[in-house]
Amino acid sequence: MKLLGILLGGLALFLAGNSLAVRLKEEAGLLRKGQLLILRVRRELTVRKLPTGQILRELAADADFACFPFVRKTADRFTGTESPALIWQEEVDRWKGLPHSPAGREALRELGGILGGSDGESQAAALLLLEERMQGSLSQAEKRAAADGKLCRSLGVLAGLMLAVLAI
Amino acid sequence: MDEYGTLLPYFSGWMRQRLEAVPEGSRPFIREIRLRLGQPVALTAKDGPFFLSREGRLLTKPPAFPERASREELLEILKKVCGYSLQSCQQELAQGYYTLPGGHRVGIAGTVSAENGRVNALWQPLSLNFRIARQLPGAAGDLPRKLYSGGERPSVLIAGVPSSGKTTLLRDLIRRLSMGETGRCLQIAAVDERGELGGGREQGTGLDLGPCTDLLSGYPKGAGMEIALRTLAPDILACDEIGGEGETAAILSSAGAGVPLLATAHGENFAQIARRPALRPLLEAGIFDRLVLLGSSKNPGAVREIIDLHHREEGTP
Repeated sequence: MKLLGILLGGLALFLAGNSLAVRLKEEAGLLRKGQLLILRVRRELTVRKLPTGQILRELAADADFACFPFVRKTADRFTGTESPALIWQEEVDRWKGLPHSPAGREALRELGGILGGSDGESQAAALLLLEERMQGSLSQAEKRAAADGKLCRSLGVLAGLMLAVLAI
Repeated sequence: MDEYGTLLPYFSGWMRQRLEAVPEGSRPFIREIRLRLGQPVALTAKDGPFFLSREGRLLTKPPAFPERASREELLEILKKVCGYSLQSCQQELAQGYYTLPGGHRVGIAGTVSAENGRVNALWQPLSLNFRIARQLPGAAGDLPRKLYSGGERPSVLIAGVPSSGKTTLLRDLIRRLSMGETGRCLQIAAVDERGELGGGREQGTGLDLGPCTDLLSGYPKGAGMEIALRTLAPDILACDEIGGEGETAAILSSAGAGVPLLATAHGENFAQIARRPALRPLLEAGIFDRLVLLGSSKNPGAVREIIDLHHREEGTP
């Protein structure tokens, strides 16, 4: 029984380490999608020069951005009579899946504030800056996922083994 | 809802409160809602500009209370006007106007960037002028009978100073001719470059131009007239506010097709119209048969004089 308990404890520690590593990787994945979202909006503004409502509808229909429920909710609520910035920010704040990185979170919030609020060139310039900030967060998150993820997994395995050794 | 009421959603805060307080009885007489940076909200009616008291009374002098249009308020209203899609309204903004559903035109003045004499982009609005479009059945008075009876179809130019009611009159004239008031229903092709004539009919909030009118909304006049002649077989070709750059050649070319023209232009009298470089060639070529001169902005839509251009005495103003 004691042995079983220790083995289970070891396994739990290993899984915890692994879970942390997976979360770090998911965070990086989310930030990468956020960067793609910004890139996509910039493209629609500069190349196709779409109106705001159409941009939102196309983003909402794109499966790549299904991980951001606030996009669809903003598209559904936006009718052209209320500021998309306010709607977007409300929906982002309601979402429980925001990235942990403060810079990444802010970048996603600010994206809505840029949409439709000035001429195409100014919006594109603001989005470029946002993209760079998101890139910064993404690089940090990827490094953390690589380094800390490995560390977490290793610590989990080590802790499990130590428990097993102590038991024996 | 009256036309004035349809514009209220574009405003908010203290501005909306002031505008909502205007009594229902006064609203039909309001022609414009004017916003200027750092100034109180002003309204234009027949007797000139007015300002609003807190209770919605029209004042002839600016009120003492401190509310003035701020930079942020003007920008927010502009964003609302453009449906929060400033990036897709750049052309209109550079031209200084945007037409709302219902045909209301918002004149925009502000700080722009320009290159080679052309406006590129608007950076900051400093003034917004909401011109209220109204469908006034009967605005054309007995012009249909005076101009088009007995099967006659002259080419007509309607001229007047700003706010003399040219577009409202033209709209009513088109509608009544299209309905067959002077005999059979006439097929009219209306080239509506600025969207004021038809009021954005594609959005379901359009103004009535009659059952036999084809609306070419947003088309530049030259292209619109060419398409109308080629594909719509109009009895009359109508357009608002001619006299812009590059339109003369298009109008001369269309006139050669034998379809009478019905158009409006800025100008107080024949001499003034004839001095305009874009309109003089049209008058000299005898494109127009009749010139309808409207009264002042104090009495919009009132016809001051109808001139037969082929029998006009030389030297008559």
